[in-house]
Amino acid sequence: MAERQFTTFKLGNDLFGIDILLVREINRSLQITPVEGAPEFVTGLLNLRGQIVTVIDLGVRLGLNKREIADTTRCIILKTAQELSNKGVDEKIVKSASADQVGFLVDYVGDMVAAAENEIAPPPANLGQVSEKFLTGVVKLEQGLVGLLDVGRILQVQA
Amino acid sequence: MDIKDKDLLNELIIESQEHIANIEPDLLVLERDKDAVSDELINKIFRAIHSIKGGFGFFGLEHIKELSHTMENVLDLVRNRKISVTDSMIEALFKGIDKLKLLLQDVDNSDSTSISEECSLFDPFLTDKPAETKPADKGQETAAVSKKIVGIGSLNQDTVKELVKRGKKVYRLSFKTDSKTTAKRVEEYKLLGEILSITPDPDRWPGGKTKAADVEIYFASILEYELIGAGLGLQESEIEIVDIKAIETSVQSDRKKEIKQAEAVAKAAKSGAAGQTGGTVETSDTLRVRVNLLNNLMNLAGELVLSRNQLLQNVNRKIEDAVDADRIRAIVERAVADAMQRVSAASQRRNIGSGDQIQTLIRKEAQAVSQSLDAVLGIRLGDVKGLNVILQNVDRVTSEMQENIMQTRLQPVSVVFNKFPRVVRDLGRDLKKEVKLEIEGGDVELDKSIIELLSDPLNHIVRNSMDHGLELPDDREEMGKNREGVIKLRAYHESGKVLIEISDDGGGVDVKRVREKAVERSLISRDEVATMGEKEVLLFLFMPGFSTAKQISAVSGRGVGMDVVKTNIEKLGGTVEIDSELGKGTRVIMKLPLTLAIIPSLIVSVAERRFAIPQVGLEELVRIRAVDVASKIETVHGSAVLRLRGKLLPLVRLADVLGMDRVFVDPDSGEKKTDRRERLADRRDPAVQVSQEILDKRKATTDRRYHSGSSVKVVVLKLADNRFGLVVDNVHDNEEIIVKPLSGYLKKCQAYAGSAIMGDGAVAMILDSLGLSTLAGLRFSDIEKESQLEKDRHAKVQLIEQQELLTFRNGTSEIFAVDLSMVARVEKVLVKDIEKIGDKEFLKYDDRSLRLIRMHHHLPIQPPTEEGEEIFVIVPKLVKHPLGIVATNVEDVFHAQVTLDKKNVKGTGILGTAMINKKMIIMVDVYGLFELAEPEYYGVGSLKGIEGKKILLAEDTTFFRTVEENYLKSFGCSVEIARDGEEAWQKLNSGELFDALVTDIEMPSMNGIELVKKIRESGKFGSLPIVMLTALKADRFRERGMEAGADAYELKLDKEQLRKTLLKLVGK
Repeated sequence: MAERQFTTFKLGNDLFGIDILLVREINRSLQITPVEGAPEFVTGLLNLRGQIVTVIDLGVRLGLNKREIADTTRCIILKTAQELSNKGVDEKIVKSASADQVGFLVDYVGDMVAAAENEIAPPPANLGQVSEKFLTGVVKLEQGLVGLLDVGRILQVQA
Repeated sequence: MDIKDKDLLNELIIESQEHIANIEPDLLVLERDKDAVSDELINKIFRAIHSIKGGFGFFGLEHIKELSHTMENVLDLVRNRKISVTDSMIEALFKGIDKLKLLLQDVDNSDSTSISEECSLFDPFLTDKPAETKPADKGQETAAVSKKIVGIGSLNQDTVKELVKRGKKVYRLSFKTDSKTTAKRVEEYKLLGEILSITPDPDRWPGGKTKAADVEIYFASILEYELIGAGLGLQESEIEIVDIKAIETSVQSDRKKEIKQAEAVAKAAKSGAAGQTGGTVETSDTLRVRVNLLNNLMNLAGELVLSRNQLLQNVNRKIEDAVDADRIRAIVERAVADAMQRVSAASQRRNIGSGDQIQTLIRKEAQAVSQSLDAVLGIRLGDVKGLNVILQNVDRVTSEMQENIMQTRLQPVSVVFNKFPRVVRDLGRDLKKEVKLEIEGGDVELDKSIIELLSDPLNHIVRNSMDHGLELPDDREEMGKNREGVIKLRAYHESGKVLIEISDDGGGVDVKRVREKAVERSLISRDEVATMGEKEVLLFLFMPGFSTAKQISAVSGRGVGMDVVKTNIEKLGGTVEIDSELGKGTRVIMKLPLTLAIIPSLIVSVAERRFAIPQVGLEELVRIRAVDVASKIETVHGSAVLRLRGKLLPLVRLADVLGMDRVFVDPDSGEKKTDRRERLADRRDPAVQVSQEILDKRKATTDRRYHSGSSVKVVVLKLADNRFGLVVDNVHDNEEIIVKPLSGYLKKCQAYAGSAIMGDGAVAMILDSLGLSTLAGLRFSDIEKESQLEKDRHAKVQLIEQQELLTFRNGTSEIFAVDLSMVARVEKVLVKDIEKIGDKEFLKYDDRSLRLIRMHHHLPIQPPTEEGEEIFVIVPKLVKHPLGIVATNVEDVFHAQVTLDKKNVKGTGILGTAMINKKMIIMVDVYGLFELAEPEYYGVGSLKGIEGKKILLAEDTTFFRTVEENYLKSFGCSVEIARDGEEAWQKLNSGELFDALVTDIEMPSMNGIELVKKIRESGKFGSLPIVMLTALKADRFRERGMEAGADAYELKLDKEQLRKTLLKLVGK
């Protein structure tokens, strides 16, 4: 049985996870330049070693409240579709990635979680206040449910 | 195909595409000169096609090979003068080229793309020649197999064609046998294909059935030549291929040659002469580099620039630290020395010995202090000083490298331009219009990425011109135009940008129709559109779906096009505008940046956030002092405008456009506060009542800071012909920034052109002036109209010569002015940097010592009541020995017509007073002032030689007349004044004798040049010396003046030069 690995993180008190293949790095330097006129879920732009990363407030995107920057706040930098396809990653994963450099602003980054396909349950209608449409499934852990996010859906924004 | 082959094939494709690009213009020439075809041209086209054929034959790509082969055959016949060039042949060749282009785009599938249509186009030119059936056996060494090829003989041509179309091959089998064997064989053959004809007929065998006879069978089969022999049990010599197409006889030998060449082509992988020279390696000074690699290099250079900027900032900070540290050390050392002196003095006074012990103690303590200072400050200036030189090197090398890499990406515009002769030709045919295309400036270079994106917009515009712009030849003739319309493509450089102009001499755009259409489509109300200027109305053409074409054609008219043009060009950081005159033609001008990657930008900030403004769109920076805000910023149609040099400039507050909270630092508390002013012209923070006492105190103590804190800083941006002012909090340095495109999530933000990383690593947004003006809803037409009204109002005044004045203060309420043409520069200096020698003050200026003079020391004016830490020094030009005039404030520069009043002020050094904008201004006579300050240089003593001379001065402007009269009088001359040329002429003719004439050029009733001409032509005044004066340095009049007969031509206000010239002309 194929096993998948997820980076887990918290938005408020809810625990979420995204496929680790999509994650490039986790950044704690949060010198983010706000962009006036940008969609509300865009916190701003971040300089990641000379590359500009569009930082998305994952909470706002999922319909939760806005992130307050705190000590534990992190930015999960995602790999671009190009990067993933160069590495020959599974087409499905590549499709969910963005063409742009994107980062998710989250309140706290937790452990890495591994789950076999059969351990992943279909998503409930709601997880906390997050709608089912953003979820691909849930994994049960000791500390609670981890909502696995549909990154492709989250990154897909009508421009 | 292994990778090596694949690389070779890719090379071949690129090369062939280049060949084709070269063939197109050649074919156009061929078409033009078809009656006098030059061998050279036809050979050139032949060779190019030949190389393509050879190359792809080598790779076994049959369709490309075959098509080019057919084309080659036709060209060969032309080359050998067997047939002549016809229009239909050119058309066929163009079609063939187009097909080749298509096939080259996807070579892998080229063999499954039909080429029969294109090939058959060439049939008429090849009919009488021997033919060859297409040997479509892929991957095999087809060429090595020898084949016999025959014509169709007695067969019906259509039958054969039909068979070939169905993929069958037609063979002619010939052998010698009897009737029975023949009949048996025929039965066998029928299993493999179709018998088309048999001679002789087995039923009517000549000379008896058992007698062997020469049998000829036409046979159609799907079997290939190589298999048919085995299938039919025949020798190769007994089988021939039938083809309706002709082919030259020497197929075999030619083929072998081709293969060799193809190998050479593919292996040498070089362009141009390869097909012709066969294998000789030519040295070349160019190299093909993958764009990818260049892009990477470009990015790396970008990163390097970034790192360099960071390094520079860091080191500069370190140097500042070091300077601070050294200063602290010096202070400590001085304090120690002081202490020791006092100790020794005190100990002597009290007679307790020399105090050596205490001194040693202090010295020890001082050393300890110094050591801990080192530990704390850590750095000495000496440590970092050498770094500067290295840094400068790094700086220089980085910039140069970046520039060079950038240049590698530049391509000549001709790459796109050269596509158009073909487009224009084809469209001209379709539309039945006669068009001449003129191309200019094809060698102007642009970044590759821009070139690539330029093709579409140009195509749209040219198509528009062809379809809607140019009229039909007959109509043109009727209108008195040349039958042949002209479309011009022009590229040229202008102020750091590349301009591309597409113009035609067609019907032009009917602005009235555009207005109607705009109203019709309810884009704007009738009233509004009526107030819009022509240029603005033409902008509607760039709206999606907007078309004035009455009919939609295949070429254009659907309204898609111009909006695409606009979006594409704006994406490139450029602008487009249309210029059109009904009946005369249309001109579209695109302004493009040279490159997209790195742009010098001005950094500004609002609410402590930085933004970058590309230098290209930047016109100037204006700072409006707090006291002037109310008077200079006005409201027109509800929006703020700045009166700048007599023109109205719409103002936009950056914070407002972006929807930010405006923040300012309260000068009293130092707190940040939100700015609640509704209008720029309003005084700051009306909600907070500041007591008069505090205000007064603030004015007295922190006057300057108060001013700078609340002055308005305006960045003037230009947008095509329009300008607007962007109000920002602060203006910082210029930086070279690397443009990073915005992610998809921010594409909708109009205000930005991209983002950039600053020297300190922070991200800053790059502002887009077009987007900002759109967001702010600027309507330039209103402002323009207002400006025009103003202009009309002032038109009369402006006819008269104006002076440009620099006004300044000297620490009192008095306002002084000097003519700007006399000012070399204005320096802001710190009072502490002024050196004093005796009672004279000096300033280090350009490695020299500039003596400063205080006006109140020499002129009857009030001494300054206040002076800050900084003063301004006005450095004049046009003087032999410059002195710096000290001013406490520089007020303004403006144009004005000055009427001097000499009554109020008397004495050397002051020309008089003038009322400008209801204020009294004292005009300073720079020469007079200098005479007073340094009589040894400027005194009358040095002016011997022309005293007593009688000079006629012709000058219409009061100001200059007064100044010049003063000058002449100070030379000791007597002066007669004429207010224009006419008056001067009369005075000359009155019988009075003059030693010389000094005349202005621009004068009413008779100008200077006319006057001089008249004087010289009359011959009455002999060689009367004539000096012409001009306020402008522009030399356009000099020649005319000298031609008319003037002896000299000098700048107004240059007293010294005027004296010298007069001395030369009339001196004793």
